[in-house]
Amino acid sequence: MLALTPNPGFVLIFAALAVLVTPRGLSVATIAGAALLALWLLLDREFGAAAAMAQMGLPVVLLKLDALNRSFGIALLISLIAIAMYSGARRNRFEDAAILFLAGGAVSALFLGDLVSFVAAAALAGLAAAALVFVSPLEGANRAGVRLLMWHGLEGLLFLVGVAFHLSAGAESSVIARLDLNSLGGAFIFAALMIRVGAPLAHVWLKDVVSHASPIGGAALSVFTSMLGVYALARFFPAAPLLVPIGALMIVVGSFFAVAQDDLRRAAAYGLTAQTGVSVALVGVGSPLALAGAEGNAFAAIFAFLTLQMALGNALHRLGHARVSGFDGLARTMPISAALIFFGGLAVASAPGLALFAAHAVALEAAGQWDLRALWALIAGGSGVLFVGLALRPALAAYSAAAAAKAGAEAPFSMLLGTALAAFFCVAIGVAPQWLYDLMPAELSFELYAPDRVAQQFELLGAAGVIYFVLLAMGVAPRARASRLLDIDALYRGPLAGAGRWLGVVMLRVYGAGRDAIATFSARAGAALGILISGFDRPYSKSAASALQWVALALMLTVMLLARQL
Amino acid sequence: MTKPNTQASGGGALFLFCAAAAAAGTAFDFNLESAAGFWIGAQPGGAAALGAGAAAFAVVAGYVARALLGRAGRQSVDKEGRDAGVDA
Repeated sequence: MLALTPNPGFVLIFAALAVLVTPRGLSVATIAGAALLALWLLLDREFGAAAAMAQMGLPVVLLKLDALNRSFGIALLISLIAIAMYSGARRNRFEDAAILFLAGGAVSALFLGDLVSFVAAAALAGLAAAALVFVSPLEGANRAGVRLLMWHGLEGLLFLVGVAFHLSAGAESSVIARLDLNSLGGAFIFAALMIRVGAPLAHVWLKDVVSHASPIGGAALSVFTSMLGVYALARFFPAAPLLVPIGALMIVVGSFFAVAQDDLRRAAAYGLTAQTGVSVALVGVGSPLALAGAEGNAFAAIFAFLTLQMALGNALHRLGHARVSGFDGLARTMPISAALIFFGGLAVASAPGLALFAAHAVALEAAGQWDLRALWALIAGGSGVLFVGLALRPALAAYSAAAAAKAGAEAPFSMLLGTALAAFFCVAIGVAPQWLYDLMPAELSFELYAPDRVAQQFELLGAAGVIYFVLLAMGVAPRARASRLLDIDALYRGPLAGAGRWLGVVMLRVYGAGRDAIATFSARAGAALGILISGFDRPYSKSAASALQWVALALMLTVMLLARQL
Repeated sequence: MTKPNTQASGGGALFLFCAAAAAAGTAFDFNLESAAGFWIGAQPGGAAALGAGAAAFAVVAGYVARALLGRAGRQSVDKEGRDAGVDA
């Protein structure tokens, strides 16, 4: 008999089906209730694997709980409660279902104990993410959804090839464990995870989909997509040295675009890439403290970027955009949302007292080795860059004395409530970080609020702000301007797409010409054959066909005579 | 005659916020005996130097990104969108 395995993610998947048929007024309660039930299932269980079953000779482990996946699961499920609150402002059951499928796929993948099931759950999350973009009312969402499907298709292909190579070593190797990057299977799975976390060259999908999703969709995509990749890297490839430069590059690329983008939701997505890069690099460092830092950084970044994306979603809901250049005077029409945007910016910049600071301090401690000093400087300086890009720039525009942005009114109450709930978790983790440290796999006794630690972070953020103000006053810093930045995707969406279209046209013409040639040849051959066959109907007429018949008859008679002689 | 309702900019308060954080942090950094930092951070004022570097990076990144990758103005954005198959 098949025992019922209470993987918390399955609850969300069932809820996704249920939300399609429940009355619309109950969708918030359904999402929040499913998240709470999943959280209860998660916290009520001891560490270890549930009973495995076998399918086609492969072990299927539907639940394997340990400290690593428990902390990621708690962060994702608490975030889902805030998202449920936020979703009350609108009625869209398809979007609700897509969010629950996305969350269900991601949470299921965390707790599955075998590779095949993990890939299936990750693929479900990928499909749901694309569905979440498709249901967005924003212009261009359909095309962004198609591009996301292509990225996830590539990721799924790499996953499947990697798993297939890995399984060739034996059925038992399908159980989730540390993988060897030097093996063919391990390399393919690593490549798939590089897409998931948004490594350089594959980082563009996140900003693309977040900026085209609805306000709630952008928040959900920030939470449930790339962080699954961080978990998988920590699970499969801890202490892989290659992850250090990749993570460092993610910090640089993410920070660069986060301060330059006019669209703040894109900028926040790039900021998430930078903070994900911190986690990726720490996974590569691989010491127990670094792994704890990677996990803590991912945990805190989930809440910080959830807060920021929700606050920006409030502006998007009223203004129709979230561009810095259009935020002038926003604080007068949307004072709470403007304050929450500034708060979200502080949260992602690891300001003391907020969640990311608790993880940022551990990350700096873990990277504080002489051979990792460049990484240490990037992590330390990155928070200053994000402070300027995601806190100061929008706040300067929102609190400027210029004409107020045409917002009309403050965001709906449920959106403010959801954002405030996410902000509350940022504060709660920030002021009482020990419960975050208690969730980490490595036992951590860390005095976060040592005066020198807090003073240095205040000093860094304050100095970044003051210098930025000075440069702005001197006219050196660039003013906010409606603009759009190209990224690496401009290559495949521009020249490569053009080349593809050109190649398609050429191939169509070649195909058409070939089809015409075959039709002409067939017609002529058919006519010739018809003439030949009609000639056979007149065997005694003086024609080449009749001569041929006579020759054939003579040959047959000769052969028969020779056969009799022999 | 009534005075026009002028709104004060919040930029001053933001500057004060940053300046207070920088001043307090730097003062503590110079006066605390046990510097917990590493490398640049272990030097008094090192964190402020890193912050200044971060602000300079933000400014340079803004110019470089606009110069090399930017498509300024709504019209250009739309044109770029059509050219590259990009959605507005």
